[in-house]
Amino acid sequence: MHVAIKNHENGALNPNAQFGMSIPAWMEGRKKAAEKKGKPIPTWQNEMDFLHDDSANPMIAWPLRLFDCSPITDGATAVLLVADEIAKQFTDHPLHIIGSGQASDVALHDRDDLTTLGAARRASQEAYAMAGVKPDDIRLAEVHDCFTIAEVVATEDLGFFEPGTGYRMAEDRVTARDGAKPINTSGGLKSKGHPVGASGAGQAVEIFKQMRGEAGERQVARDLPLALTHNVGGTGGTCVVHIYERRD
Amino acid sequence: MTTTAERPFTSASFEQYLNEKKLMGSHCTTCNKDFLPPRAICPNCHGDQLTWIEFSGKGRLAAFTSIFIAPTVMIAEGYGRENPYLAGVVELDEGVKISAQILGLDARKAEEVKIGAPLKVEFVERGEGESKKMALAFRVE
Repeated sequence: MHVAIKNHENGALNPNAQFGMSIPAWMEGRKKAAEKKGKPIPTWQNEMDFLHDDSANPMIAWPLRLFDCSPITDGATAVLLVADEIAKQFTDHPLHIIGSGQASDVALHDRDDLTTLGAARRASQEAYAMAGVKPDDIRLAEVHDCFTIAEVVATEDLGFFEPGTGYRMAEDRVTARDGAKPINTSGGLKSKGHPVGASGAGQAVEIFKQMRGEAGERQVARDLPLALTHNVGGTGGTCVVHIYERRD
Repeated sequence: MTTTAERPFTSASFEQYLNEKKLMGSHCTTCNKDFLPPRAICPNCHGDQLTWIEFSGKGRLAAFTSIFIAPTVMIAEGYGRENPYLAGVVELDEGVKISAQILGLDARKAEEVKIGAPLKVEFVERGEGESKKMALAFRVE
């Protein structure tokens, strides 16, 4: 649930987000709408109160509720991809893809462990090896948060956090924009939206803006020389990881 | 009528067997592994010497969820927000796993469902007329 709070907080600062509203702003909207209709005004004390309310945040597939699920979205993304040698003809500050990994996995029911995606682990290991960097070197990442739990699992699979500890990181603000490892500054699939075919390239757009200092109000305040994107297909049957470098 | 030996290792054959109330998979005679649903090429040794094998239908619950927002086929069966159902992964006694509907437990009390609960296969009739077929489910013993 804290992943949803954080990603909506980020998405509120993204003018292209589908549900670009923070959860507190959402709660205010619901209270005003109730008042206008003459209905009882909800008495949520805080975001967690709201997120545990069955009528405001109904169950979809236990234990995931509405605000744990990314929406169905229409959207498009464009990325200009050229060879390193000619990149400066198009921009003074290109980004360089220094690592790339892809992996697949067996059907969901055939896996030994449902708390990790093997494809994500193998794809990221491949990308780290190609780039010659470690998970700790990555300053910023956009990960496939189709559901809130998917962001938690992704940050563990990518080696950012120890298995079983990822759930704490949004609540502890480690993955917030001003945290040690900002995740999904765009708002992620959760708030920005999930236009399936455009979701992956959309992650590259956010990394491009952040690393070049062009992310506006949601700009991460630290230097970002290395960043990563992690995109998943199906129920983890396939995963693609890219590592981006800015060379000043 | 197609005999057992002639049926190809496809999902159509798998469903045909379900309609006959049989839980059938394939067995690799080269490396001795079982697959459910059946695979025509062994994912383990990549051999193509496979035979049909019938599973006992007994197993244990390995993972589950309770679904409140149901897909069309389950809405047609009366499931949904007011009547959730359980879906899960079942580990059979033979060691293979398969996903299916789970019956005999309260989907509204997902917190009380126990991983490891003993289950037995059940074939559930779905649809009417020509679209009538058996769906795979498991019931708590």
